Amino acid sequence: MSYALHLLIYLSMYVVLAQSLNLVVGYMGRLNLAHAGFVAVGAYAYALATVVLGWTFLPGLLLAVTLAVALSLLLSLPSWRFRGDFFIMITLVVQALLYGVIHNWTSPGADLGSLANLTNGPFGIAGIPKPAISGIQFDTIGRMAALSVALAGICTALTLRLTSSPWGRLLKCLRDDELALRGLGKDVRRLKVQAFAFCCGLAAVGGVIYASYVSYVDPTTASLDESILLLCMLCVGGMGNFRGPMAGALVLLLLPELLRMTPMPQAVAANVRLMAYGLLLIVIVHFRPQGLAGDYRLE
Amino acid sequence: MIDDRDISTNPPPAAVKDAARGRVLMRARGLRKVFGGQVVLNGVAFDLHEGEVVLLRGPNGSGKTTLLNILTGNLVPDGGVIHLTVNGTLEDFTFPRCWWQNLNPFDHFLPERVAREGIGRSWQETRLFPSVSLIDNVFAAMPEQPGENPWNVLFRPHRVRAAEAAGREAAEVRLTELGLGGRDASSGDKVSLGQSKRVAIARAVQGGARILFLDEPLSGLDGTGIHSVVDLLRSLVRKHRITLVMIEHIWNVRHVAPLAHTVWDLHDGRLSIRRSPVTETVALPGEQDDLRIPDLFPDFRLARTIDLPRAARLDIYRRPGDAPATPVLQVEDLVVRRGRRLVIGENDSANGTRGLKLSIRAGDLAVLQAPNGWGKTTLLDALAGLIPAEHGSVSLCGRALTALPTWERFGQGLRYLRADSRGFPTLNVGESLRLAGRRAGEDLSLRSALSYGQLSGGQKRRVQIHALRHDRSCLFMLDEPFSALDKQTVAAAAEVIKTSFSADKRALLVALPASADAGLQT
Repeated sequence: MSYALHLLIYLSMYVVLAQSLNLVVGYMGRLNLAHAGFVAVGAYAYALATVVLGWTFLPGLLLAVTLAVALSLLLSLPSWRFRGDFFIMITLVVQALLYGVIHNWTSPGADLGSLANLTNGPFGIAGIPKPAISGIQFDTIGRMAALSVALAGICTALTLRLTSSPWGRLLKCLRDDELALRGLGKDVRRLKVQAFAFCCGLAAVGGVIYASYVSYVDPTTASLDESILLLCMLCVGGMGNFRGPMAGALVLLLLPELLRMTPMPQAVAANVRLMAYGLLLIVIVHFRPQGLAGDYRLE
Repeated sequence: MIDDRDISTNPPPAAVKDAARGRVLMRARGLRKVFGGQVVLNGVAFDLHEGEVVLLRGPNGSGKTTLLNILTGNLVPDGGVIHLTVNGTLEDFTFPRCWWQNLNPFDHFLPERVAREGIGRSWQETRLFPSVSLIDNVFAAMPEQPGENPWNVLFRPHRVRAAEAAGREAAEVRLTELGLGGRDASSGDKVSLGQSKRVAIARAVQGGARILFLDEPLSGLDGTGIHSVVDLLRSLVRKHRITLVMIEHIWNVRHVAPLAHTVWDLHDGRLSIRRSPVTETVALPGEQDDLRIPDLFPDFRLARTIDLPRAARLDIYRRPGDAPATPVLQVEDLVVRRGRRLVIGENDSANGTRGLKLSIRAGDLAVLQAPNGWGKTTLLDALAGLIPAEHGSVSLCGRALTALPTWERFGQGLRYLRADSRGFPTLNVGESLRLAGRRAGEDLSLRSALSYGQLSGGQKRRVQIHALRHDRSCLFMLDEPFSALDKQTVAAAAEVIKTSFSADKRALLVALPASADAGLQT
């Protein structure tokens, strides 16, 4: 039972992350390899707020989202000018930058959370307290699952509402033909800033779910592998609509779990999992370029 | 340069004379643009009045599209002044801008800014949003929608919903006016060219355009498409008093000429403006004549006409006296689909789908005329192997092509000129020709050091026609070869085609829009 709940928590986290990435990649048509960086920004901001400052869940969540939204300018401002491969390079730079900062902002002997040792470097931050909202403790796995599903529900409802609105239509138009959209008098710069703000802010929510459930964050949260995994979810599941990221998150989360069921030594299973990812991606890209349930094909 | 302060305060004499024409909406003085050492625009000056309809003409490469791009903010001129009426007063935009002017991000002459001041444009390639439905294409263009602000979407859903309903209704009305009432859910890439051109114009109008710049609104359209677009333009001018500036190439000039009050002739980088009765201005000597395929190929006579399904036909011209020849292209039972839509072939209730069948012999000049959306380009692409055919067989000079990839079909002697002017933008003209196996420096009257991407639409077309290889060829397929060309260039292109075609074992398949308002009937 608790295994199923554990999966449910992870699933809700990945649904939030895939849906938020879908805003920029699927709807706006800009490839983004820095998503895990913003997940980690959210997770670390929440961890520091709760561990060092002693804040409760909701203020911590608010801080995490605010910080990620502010840092989203790192992506949205370059997107004014760069597109295509060069923009992907920019997202890679931002990813490396965030990872580098989180990995290296430490000095031996200094207190955690001080300016000299903000992130505790490779050792990460442990002992993140279980969340509590106005007296309700989310200390059992069942309650934690309820909280994360509720958060995921709010986030997906938010993305669904946004993407089905005229704002979402503008995003699709921007993906199709930026120059034509500018020729209609639409402020594409503001649109890009907004889209990246939502994308990164929601990524921070995913990071908060992660940090509060696992009670520990370390720099691997921000690694490029995670970003690629999230992008894989969109490629496999499909993008540009609501179903695609859902399908992707489900498939890429359950696949390794299925492999775990098979009687295979742990060391072999890890490699088989990577091979399965690769194979799945190749098969999907070849036979169903729009993904399992997607509307849009990234060219 | 003309002193612009003087102009912006005192209306020039011409404007006083025809005050009935309306106030000046846009005014330019001394516009200048240089591309790679070549002066394209040199001191262009004009006044554009409210309700005026302007026909912008000029030979290939004279900078018509460049001027349009500058006036719509898509290109920054090297010098000059543009005055634009903003809220009733003329605002100045002086070029080149000083570095300190660039610090203020709000006064740039950028497309979105210009569009908000009521200047819309259409592109040569229509640029509808392909993955968005037609209605949303029109809808998205509406200015000041509350739902475009995420704050309103999340926290004021009532307001957004009300605006959505009203806007959707307006967009539906607009589409119904265009006769596209039932098609509003189709996405932008699934409608015919004529429809998409009309939607693109309607989109610009819906975006609040008071001045519309149209880049070849009729190019590539069939007879019905031309009439519907011209009707739309007429109603825009008469009913909505929208100011139009149109570029149109020679084939179609006579359709839009009756609308025009003013002709701007762009020549050697300068604009000469004539405001006189339409009949006088438009009839430049020799330009009114239709260009007919038989005129371009005078020694050919219509031999037979094959009727194809859905109002298309294949006219076969031959030289009288040529001996009956062997088949060059034989197509049997060809069926091509785009997604689920059947494009080539017919649904036959008795035995499923029936494919297309045609045959072209050596020495034939075959002219395929079909309405827009018939699938001319799809057919040629399928023959060239660029898109797969569902079934059917194609053979070229007796050899089966069906299983061959595109490059091997070319090895068998197939030559294909696509309708778009796509090329390799960073190669220069000489390299482009050499890549195609032609000697560079052949008489093109283009500097071979110019890069392909810098050429104008007509010049690109010329390079492409020149790049068709002659040796070991047996069938030339040309998709709208004369679009975007002026009269002289059409003649030159026809000459190139004729020489390549003169040997006996070759045939030519030309695809053109139907009903030939371009004057292609015999």
